[in-house]
Amino acid sequence: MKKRYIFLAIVPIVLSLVLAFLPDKSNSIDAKRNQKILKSAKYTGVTPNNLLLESVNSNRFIQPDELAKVIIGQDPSYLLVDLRDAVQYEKFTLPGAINIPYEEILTKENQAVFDSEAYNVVLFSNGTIVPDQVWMILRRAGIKNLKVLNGGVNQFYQLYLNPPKPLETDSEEAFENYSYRKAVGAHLGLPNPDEFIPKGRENVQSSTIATGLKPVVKPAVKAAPKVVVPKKAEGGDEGC
Amino acid sequence: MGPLIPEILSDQWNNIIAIITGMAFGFVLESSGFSSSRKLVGVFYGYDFAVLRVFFTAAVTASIGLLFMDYFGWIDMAALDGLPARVWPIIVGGLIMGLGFVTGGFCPGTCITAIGIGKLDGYMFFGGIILGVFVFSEMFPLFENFYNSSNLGDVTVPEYFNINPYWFTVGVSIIAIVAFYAVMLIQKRIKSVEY
Repeated sequence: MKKRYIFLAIVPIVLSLVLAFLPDKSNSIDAKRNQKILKSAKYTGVTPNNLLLESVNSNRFIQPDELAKVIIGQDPSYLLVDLRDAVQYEKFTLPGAINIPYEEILTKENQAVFDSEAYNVVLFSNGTIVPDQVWMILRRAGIKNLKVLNGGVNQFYQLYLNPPKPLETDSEEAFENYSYRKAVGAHLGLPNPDEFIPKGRENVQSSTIATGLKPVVKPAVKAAPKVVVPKKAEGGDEGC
Repeated sequence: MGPLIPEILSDQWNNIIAIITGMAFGFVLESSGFSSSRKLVGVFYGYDFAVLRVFFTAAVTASIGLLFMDYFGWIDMAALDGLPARVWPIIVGGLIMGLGFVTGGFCPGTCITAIGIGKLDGYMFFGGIILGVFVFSEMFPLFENFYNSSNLGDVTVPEYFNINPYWFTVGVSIIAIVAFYAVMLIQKRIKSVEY
């Protein structure tokens, strides 16, 4: 056997032995196994730094007045996603909203719904905390076009059910806002705040909302889940 | 990943690096004699084990190199990903691939190398690949279930058996050297073939 072969055979064995005896592999593959398991859902999202910047920025919010315009205009480029559970969704929701309880946001079908280029997805729940958390998870999963309804569905209805009445000294704009909100309330089938009877509030709210609202934009938005199921390209890595 | 990618080499370089490594790979394949199907199938008849030596050496070199670069923090091994380990489909696919290899005399990469030096059998083989890809794609719904079965996900051998990847690499290196020695003995016993 040639000496050259013996030398070449010794090289990989020595090198791999050196590897095995290297001290402190804290930043190496062995230590990163757990991280990899965490990342095993293919990570394509924003980096942690950018996510931090985005999370202190209020750009992700959509204000109730903007959303009202979307709902009234039946803007087909918006997909409303109700993150509450099915029971609450059945009771009342925003017109045209689809229901994805927040426990189920990471299932494959729901990911496909979120991950559509065609829509601006508006996340909402009763408040802002849950949609904010969902926003963060989905942003990390690389999903764009996400909006969070500021104040949640509670504040949304509050705003149109009982819009804050401007003072007589307020600007004209405040009055315009007030009448706009009243008009939105009327469109949504809410009682006129000027003729509002506080006693019957609970009944009025639940009954009008439950019956009057749901079907408004529904057909346009319902089609969403069918649209995009991006099939992952696989294979292509040949051995030789 | 580590500083090598994306800080030193940003993502815009991906295609250029792919072309350069591809050309280097093709050059090495051709200069190892892998454009000759007689040399390639020698591994099945026992008169030439260049295929085994080259690919085993490549695997050992790459794994040692990657682990070292990972240790120095140049790259992040955890960010590399492989194909999902679908056990039975891979075994069946490997058998089909081996059958194609021993009858056709090329594997997909080497047939391109053969085309590069103008071999007609390389062209034929490449046509066969395209035909096979077409048939496979058209018939895919038939065996889609099998194709996706027994999927272990994106795991490596050390992860699956929970062994230290460094000692695993030592083991692979030793196995490689033993295999090289064994095939050398086999080759000595078998009558050499002129090709």
